[in-house]
Amino acid sequence: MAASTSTDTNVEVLRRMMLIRAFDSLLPDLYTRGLIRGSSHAAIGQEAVAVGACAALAADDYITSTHRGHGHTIAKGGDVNRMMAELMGREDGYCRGKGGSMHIADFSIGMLGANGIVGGGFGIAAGAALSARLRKSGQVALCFFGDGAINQSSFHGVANLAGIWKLPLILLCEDNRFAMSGRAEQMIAGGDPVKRAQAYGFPGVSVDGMDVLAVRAAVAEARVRALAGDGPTLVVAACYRFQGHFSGDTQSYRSKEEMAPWLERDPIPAFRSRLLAEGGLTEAEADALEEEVATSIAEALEFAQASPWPEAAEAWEDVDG
Amino acid sequence: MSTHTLSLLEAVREGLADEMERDPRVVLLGEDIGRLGGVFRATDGLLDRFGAERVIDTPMAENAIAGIAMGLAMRGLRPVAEIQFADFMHAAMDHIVGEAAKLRYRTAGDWTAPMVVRTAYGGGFRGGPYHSQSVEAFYSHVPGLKVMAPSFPDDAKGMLTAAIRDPDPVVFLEHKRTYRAITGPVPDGEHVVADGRLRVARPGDALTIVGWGMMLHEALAAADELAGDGIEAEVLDLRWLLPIDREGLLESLGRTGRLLVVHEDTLTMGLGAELCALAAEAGVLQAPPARVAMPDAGGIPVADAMEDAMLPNRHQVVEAARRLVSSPGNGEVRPGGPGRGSWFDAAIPEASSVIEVRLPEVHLELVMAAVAEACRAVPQSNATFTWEAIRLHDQLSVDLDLGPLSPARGGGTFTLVDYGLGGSLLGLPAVRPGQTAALRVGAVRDGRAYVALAVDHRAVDGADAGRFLATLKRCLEE
Repeated sequence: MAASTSTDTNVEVLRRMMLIRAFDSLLPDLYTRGLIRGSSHAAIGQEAVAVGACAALAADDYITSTHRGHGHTIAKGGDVNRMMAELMGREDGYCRGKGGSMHIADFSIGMLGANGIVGGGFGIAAGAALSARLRKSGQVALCFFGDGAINQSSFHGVANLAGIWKLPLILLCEDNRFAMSGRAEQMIAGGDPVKRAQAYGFPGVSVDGMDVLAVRAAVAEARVRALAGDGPTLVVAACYRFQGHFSGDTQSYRSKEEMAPWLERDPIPAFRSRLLAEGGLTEAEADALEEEVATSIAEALEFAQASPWPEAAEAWEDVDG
Repeated sequence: MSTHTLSLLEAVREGLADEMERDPRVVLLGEDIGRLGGVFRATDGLLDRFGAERVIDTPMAENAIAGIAMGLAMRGLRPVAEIQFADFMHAAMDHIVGEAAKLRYRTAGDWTAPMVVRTAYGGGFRGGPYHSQSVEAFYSHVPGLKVMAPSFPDDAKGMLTAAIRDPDPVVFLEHKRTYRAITGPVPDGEHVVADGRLRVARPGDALTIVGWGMMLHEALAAADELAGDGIEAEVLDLRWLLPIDREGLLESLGRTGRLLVVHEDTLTMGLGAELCALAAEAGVLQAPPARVAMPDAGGIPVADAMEDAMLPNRHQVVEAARRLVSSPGNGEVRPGGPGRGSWFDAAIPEASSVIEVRLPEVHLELVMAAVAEACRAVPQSNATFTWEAIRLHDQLSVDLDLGPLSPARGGGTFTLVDYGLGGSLLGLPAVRPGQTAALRVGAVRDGRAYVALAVDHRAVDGADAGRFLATLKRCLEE
């Protein structure tokens, strides 16, 4: 890979956002062509949250992801080839074809797993955070979850524990306004979900989830607090899911008019323009970046399709120790 | 009686709508059931028809959904909760198992919770580990619940109506693959199936196959194939998983004496165990019972070949049924089956391993030669086990089983089973008394086949079996 793999640079931040967009943009077509196994969920429109948050973490910090997790994996430095292969149910996939989209995990980069259960990541992230404290490893754990998951009892159980134990945990709510078809304003009591932090005695921070640097700054601050022993932070990043919940979602629950202002605030062109304006990037470099991302994705497709199917007998492997 | 044709999904929807028309106490609640009409469209159109007070979109909170359903039920309403996927229902188990199921008993009958929890279960559509599970065994273990799992559209409507009217909590399991794949006649007008009895989906007398949901349809397909061999299987649609229709089961077994249970839920502690135990306790079995079920693995894989290999299917049912009707029984030889009294010994502790090989369609000589080579590499696979010693044979004598028309003769030192292109893709052979191993070659597809080795675990351990298959594969592919 030609580019820097560190998100220290704004260019790498932009590249990862572009890579997520390019990866998830393929999903409908791959699904229609019958190449993807199982359902998958695109995070188009939410790239700034994933990349901004992970850019503020150390390489060995932990994240837990969701059913909409490809972006989190890419943001943490995951391998698009292995992820694409897993989506296609191939031997070289992250789970060797056993999981599919909602099971991607890469412990080598601290990515503790996508999750098909809404709210399935809270406990895992809190456990990882507690382990970091017990091992005195200086790591933090960040739990990505959506505005739907904040209504699960698992959120409340873990928020309370994290509060009383002051865990090095960052609860990052990707408030994309929809729990599948359920609108956040109808589903979340008390209005703004950020207020829930107050009840558990730790800070709640609202951030513009369409602004990648704002997300990075908010998570960086939360990380400092976590490492100082001051406990968890709830970061609520306001963003918007540009596509349906899954491939084939009719989206009868929202209108084009409602989507328009969000689409105008697309985080990727916004950040690109900002870098161009501030001189951090030239037009030529930006175009080259586009090209590099397109190549990465083309290679991932090629890698995945060239990867063999798992043998049927492998279904009986890893059943027990 | 006049009928109309519906898919199982449409029958669920009609059942909900009709009962909501009749009974204003019936309310629906769940994730995405209103505006979206449910992810599977079971409640499509019901929000417009009955309004948001009776078709309630809830937040993502399965435990709360179950708890609220219970509260509604305790105070005069008739809630039907939808849990989007059975995989998400684990989060709701606390209220279903810990609370609702116990209400009648712990209040000495003063209170009940007439609630229904509907959910979509089952695999077979590349859903992966989080969207494919079967959960019937969890709930069928809980006194105080009823568990229903319809297999046909008329039952989907009739049993759902009965579930809504039931005074106690009902877990109502709808197999996702039956939603659109299974259509059938549904009686016009009010239709209630509340008898708690199993349904004879196909009459027969050679053996009894019990299934439900999609597996019932696999069992029916298997029964068609078996009928071609002159084996008439009775197929029972259990449909009431709790309580089980014990009388109906024993009535059938009283005639057939042979039980085969098929379920998509995993094998160990599955409903098959309970059905086998009921049959065994009643003393109606003439041969050891058999089960075809999902292997005990931690999830259902997403990749095609692995999911297909794991899901129980009609071929395995045919295989198990053939074996069952061939088994000697309690000293009795049944007409129609091979019936040689001594070739099957249920007491042999068997282990099986499977490998995939490249193989031409015409391959018997090649396989015989490879078996000879593999037996030389692993001599204890051509042996006889006794408690004193494992007696290795100097000569290899292969007993060939080429199907019902040319079955194994019962002699030899090693059994080779090959049903050719018409056989199943993957079947496990049985180790014959006096032998320590048997090999089965599956049907060749696209130049490849699964080869399964069964061994007497007292004589051949897993590593030996692996060496046997590796040697075999090398010989076959060289």
